[in-house]
Amino acid sequence: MFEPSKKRGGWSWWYLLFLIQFVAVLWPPFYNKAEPYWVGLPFFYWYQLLWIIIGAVLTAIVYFMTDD
Amino acid sequence: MQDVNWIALIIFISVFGFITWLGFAAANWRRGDLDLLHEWGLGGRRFGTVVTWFLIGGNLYTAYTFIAVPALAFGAGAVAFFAVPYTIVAYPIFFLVFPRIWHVCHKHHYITAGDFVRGRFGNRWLALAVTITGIVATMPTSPSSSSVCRS
Repeated sequence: MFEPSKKRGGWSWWYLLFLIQFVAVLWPPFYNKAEPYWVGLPFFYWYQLLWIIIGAVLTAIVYFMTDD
Repeated sequence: MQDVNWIALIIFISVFGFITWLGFAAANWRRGDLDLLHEWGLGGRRFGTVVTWFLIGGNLYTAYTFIAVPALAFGAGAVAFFAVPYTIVAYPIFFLVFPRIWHVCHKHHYITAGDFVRGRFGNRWLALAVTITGIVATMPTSPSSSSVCRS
């Protein structure tokens, strides 16, 4: 059961880690190209799929670093 | 009958049967008093971390995700991939905002986003606007917008 007594209030500098993935995916010129291919996938596709994984890792880092 | 794809048919019937059975089984799992609004709408706020994880995941994997986005990819191509950055950006925002909303909802017994807005800003017209926006926005996707207050 979710225990709400640990209040996660306030600001943490760790939240700025999210800006990395925001910038990486919100500016299409970074990845609007076909080269280099990876297992037949154009860069445009595998770049975005890769950022799902990186985003999950960054979220996990933020979660554990702000969990006090 | 020779055009029947037996593998697909068997998988479909098996999954359909399993989901149907699961639905009836779940109806008796941790039964709550459904005359109470927070029992009916929020599962009595007793969903744990794992159930909530599936619930929030289910908010993402909707008919929209499985039909509309692939249809857009089929018809218009790579532009349909807007859905991927959108999700990557949306979930950290949920991560930051949802626990706080949950906290306030739990403390003040709010059930819907409208309850929250009315309690926070004290304006019933704003609450009505948020509720109507929520209903209209929910129509194309169908998952419950009140899932934020569960768990």
